[in-house]
Amino acid sequence: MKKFLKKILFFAAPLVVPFVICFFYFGMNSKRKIDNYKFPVTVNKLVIGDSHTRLAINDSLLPNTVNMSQNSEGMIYTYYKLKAFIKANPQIDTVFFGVGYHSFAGYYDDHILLPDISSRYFFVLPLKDQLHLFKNTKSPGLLVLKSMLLGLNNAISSGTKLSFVGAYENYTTKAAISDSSIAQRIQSAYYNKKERSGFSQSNTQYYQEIVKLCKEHNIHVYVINAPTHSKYAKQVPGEFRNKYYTTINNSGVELIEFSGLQLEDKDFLPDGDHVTKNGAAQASNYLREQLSKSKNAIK
Amino acid sequence: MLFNSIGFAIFLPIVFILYWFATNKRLSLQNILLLVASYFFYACWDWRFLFLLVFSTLLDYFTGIKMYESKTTGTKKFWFWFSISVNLGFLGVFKYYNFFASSFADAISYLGFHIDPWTLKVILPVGISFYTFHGLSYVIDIYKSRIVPEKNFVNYSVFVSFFPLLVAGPIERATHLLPQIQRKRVFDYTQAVDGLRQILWGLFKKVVIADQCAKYANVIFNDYGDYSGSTLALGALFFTIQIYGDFSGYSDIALGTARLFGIELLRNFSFPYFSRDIAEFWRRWHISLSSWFRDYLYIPLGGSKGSTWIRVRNTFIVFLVSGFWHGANWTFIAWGLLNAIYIMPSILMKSNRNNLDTVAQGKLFPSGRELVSVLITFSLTVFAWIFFRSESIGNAVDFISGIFSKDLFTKPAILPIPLFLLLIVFMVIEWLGREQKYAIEAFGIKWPRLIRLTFYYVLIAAIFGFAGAEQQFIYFQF
Repeated sequence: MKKFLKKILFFAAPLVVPFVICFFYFGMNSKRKIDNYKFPVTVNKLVIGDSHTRLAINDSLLPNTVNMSQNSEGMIYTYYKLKAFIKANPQIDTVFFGVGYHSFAGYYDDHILLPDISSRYFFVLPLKDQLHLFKNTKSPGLLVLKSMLLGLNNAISSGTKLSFVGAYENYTTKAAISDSSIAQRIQSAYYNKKERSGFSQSNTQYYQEIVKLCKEHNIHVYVINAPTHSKYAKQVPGEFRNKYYTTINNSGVELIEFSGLQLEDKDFLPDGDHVTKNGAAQASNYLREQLSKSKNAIK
Repeated sequence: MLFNSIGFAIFLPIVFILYWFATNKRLSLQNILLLVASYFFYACWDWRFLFLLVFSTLLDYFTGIKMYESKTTGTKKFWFWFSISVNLGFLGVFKYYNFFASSFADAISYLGFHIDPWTLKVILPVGISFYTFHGLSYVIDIYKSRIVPEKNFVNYSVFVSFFPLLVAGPIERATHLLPQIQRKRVFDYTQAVDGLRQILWGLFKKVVIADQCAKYANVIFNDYGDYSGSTLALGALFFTIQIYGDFSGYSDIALGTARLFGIELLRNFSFPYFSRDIAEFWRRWHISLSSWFRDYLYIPLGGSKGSTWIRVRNTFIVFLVSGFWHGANWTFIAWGLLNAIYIMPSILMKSNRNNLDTVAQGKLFPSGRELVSVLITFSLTVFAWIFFRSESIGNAVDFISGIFSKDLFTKPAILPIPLFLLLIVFMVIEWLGREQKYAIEAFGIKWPRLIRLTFYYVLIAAIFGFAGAEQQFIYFQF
């Protein structure tokens, strides 16, 4: 028996010891990098959100602004990112918070647990959220493995190459928008098979947390509803529109929509709720103009 | 609790340590520990059905003793049929009642009557077919005076409920397992290491092979109307590999786990996809069930003795019952029937025991004849699995006609090259290890230690890397 246990230990040691060392090293390293993530001192405005703002807001067209949006980023992750960025960059005074109709759709609650997404942020989360994630994800093994790989990436990278940091993405496609591609997107975002999906509890909770965080630090928040195709907007179920406007109105933040912006079909990706490079340029210029007219005109 | 879950990864070492360190001084304590651990294991799935398991155990324990103590044949018969009726009654109610009720309603509707059958809203207790068959074999063996009843209730309960085999077999026999429970187990280093290796291979087959094939098989079978013939054929192939990886993987984990506790379970798989005919396939697939039906159904019916008609009848009965054992659906019966038809030529020509050895035994490559035989048998099996996997006979027929009517020789819409490469590596390892109890029993055993360990580490990394949601084992539903 002793021999067996000894052999097991010797067999496991080359796997377990480096794993534990790397796990803690990557964890500490990622924490250190997010806690010390400095923007140039001139940057006082951040764009946060998911792929919608990532593709729609070209930060090079806006003064003193950095787009930190990341694809499929649940608001829980945005919250912890923003918290660290605000702490390390006290000059931040404005946040453009990308929130779309889809943001409160129930699919986000499952989405945030997917290893492909959660592994980007795993090491920068507090322990309680790490444990929650580990317990609730459908594939804990994959989560750990992907987190380790991204931890390694974070250890040798910097800037926007860090897994938890986002950036504006210049996106073009040859695929054209169509009724069926829009319908497909509507289906995946707001319906579960034929049933309408519920609301996202996590995003609803962390929306409030983000607004509260910004208020605590005297940061002005603008919610941005990134441009969507008119056909897409018409198909968004009423419950999600109501939820959207009620939540934003109740939180007392200023909402910027792009209803005055006339984009053509070619400015959208096939799904109708993301814009191309050209669409992003127009949306970003439109945003700049709207801000200059705003009563809280920013500098 | 699933074998491929974090819960089991915590549960197993705890029971192992308690078994060999805290209770090793007394056999009775070890058996009590195994029983408590087994009931806990089962209760993790649904504690309410634990009562059914305990009731089934008590029933067979007492009827076994009553039969043995019976002074007259009539009393003995009474207790025998009482046990058989209650056991099959439970199985009938929980597993087959809804099927019979709806089939009866369908049949009546053909005559122009309409009835709304009263159906049960109960879930199928996991493992009921397996532990019921344990109990049945025990009762039948006592009735036939092959064994004497076990007087120690804990020992008998461990025989029925031993956690590695509780929910999906192997279906054990009292003659094989009870003596091992009755005698003191001594820790055997080689057996334990071998057990761990078998668990590793079982997990690989389940998590890496079966679950990856399942992704594609499910997509193709769920929307078979949308795919070309070539894609459908691929779907059937994926399911064929999936069910093998899933069930034989489960069996490997079960056997390996039992070995950690010094117990050898019956072998359940022996590389069935390398069989040269259907008779050989059935000697290598789900061996504990096939042999159960052979011993408790086929032979009592007369077996292969008697006229050709008797042999044909017995074969059909066994395969139909075997199909029905798998589930309350006509698809399983069709699958059983198809296999009975497949095996018929060798039954009629008395060539069903032609291939008792391993294909290309002692050689690296098979002969041309062997290769063709293996490929034909494999293709027949793939075809039969379509019925097993389909929701209804209609779906199966549509699926098959889809294969042969729509672009069978075009490029499949789903063609996961990395999975194909993985399957090739897997099949090569299985081929090389086909003369062993499981593929990696002796695989790389002569390699330098570092390379061998690296191979095991790669398997572990693959299991972690491919681990998705904890996928239930297919045979849990039976």
